[in-house]
Amino acid sequence: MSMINTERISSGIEGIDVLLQGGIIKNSVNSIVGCSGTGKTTFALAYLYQGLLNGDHTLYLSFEETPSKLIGEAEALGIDIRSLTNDAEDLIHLVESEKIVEFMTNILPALAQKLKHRNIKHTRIVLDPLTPILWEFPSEKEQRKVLTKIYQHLSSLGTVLQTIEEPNAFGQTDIGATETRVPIYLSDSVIHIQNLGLGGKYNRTCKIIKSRKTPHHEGIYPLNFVNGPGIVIDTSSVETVEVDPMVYDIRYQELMKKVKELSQDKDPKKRIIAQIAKNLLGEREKRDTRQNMELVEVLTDKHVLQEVRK
Amino acid sequence: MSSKLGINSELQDLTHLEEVEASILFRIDGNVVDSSFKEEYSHKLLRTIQWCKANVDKVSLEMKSSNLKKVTYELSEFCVIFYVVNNITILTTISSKNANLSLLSIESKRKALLIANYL
Repeated sequence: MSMINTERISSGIEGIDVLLQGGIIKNSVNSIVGCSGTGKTTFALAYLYQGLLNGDHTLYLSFEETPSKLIGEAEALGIDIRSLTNDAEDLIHLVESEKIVEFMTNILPALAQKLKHRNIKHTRIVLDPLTPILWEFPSEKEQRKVLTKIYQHLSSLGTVLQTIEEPNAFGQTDIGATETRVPIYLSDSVIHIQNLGLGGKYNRTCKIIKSRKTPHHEGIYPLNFVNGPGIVIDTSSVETVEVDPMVYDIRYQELMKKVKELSQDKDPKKRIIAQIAKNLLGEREKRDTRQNMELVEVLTDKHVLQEVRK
Repeated sequence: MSSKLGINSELQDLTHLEEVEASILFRIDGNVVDSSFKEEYSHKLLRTIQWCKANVDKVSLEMKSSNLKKVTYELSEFCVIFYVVNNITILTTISSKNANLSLLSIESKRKALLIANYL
């Protein structure tokens, strides 16, 4: 999908903006993929809530659940949509299954045109879930044709967030399943949420699978349902720079080996250099790994090496 | 004490050991009965847990056919001890690479016997 610019908006989900290094790109198409019960709809509701907080225009298209049920679910998790608007139920539009094809191919493009003419600057669009639409177009070729058209209309209007059902058994995953392939391919960013069933912090997880036009943090992060924000992604491990002490220890050992070779050299100058290095390095036993690491950092520093050569 | 609480308390006891990163009671089909982890989240540990989950069925089958009570795997990041609790569950202890595996094996055996009483 083509994107107009790299201006970003807040997703409304604590942690996701950190993982996406600043938030969702404006006018992009974003997918939340996960099995049932992983928190896709909560994700979408938090996104809608953030839009209301920001004063954005919102368009929530539900293909399965009624507006009152969705708002009730949001309230149960502390996402109080009713506190921000008097007509909360009107924010969510239920599209019945028999009208999906007509809605997506005729009504939605017309609606997009109408909104464009009303000069609305930015709209947060939610398609929850996209799966019934995919069922209406069984062939991948047809899915691709229809979705490309829909995304073109919607991304010109605003930023799209869609939820996609991952067709798998509990605790298992297959992100490349036929049912999810086309929308994932066409999306600008894909967030994969899972319920691994491992317990504790390893029970529910979140991973950015794809993010066009922006770098993102790799890795799987814990996801928690929290009353208030709805969903929180624990990104406390993002800032941690992982240093492998083994790498530094190997470098230290190599350095010591070189010093030993120099000390056995016939050239007295080299032997003196080895003696100086030995004095600098000292006895390994007297130092802990951190000190070794610091020493190797200093001794392998470009400027220090240049000075030594001089 | 209820069996759920009892099992969880034994797993927590194991995880309190300095070298132990996680202790998980697996059903032999790979489902988690109960688990306990160190406070800090680790991507590497998650990878190892997923490896255990994916392989526990094969490991248990091998243990059963060879009449083994314990199997130890020394992986690149962690060490994993599988200890048979009963016919349908296996206690999995994931420790750091430099852990004292002999002591840990004894502790795993002790905990497996205690957990078996709750099942």
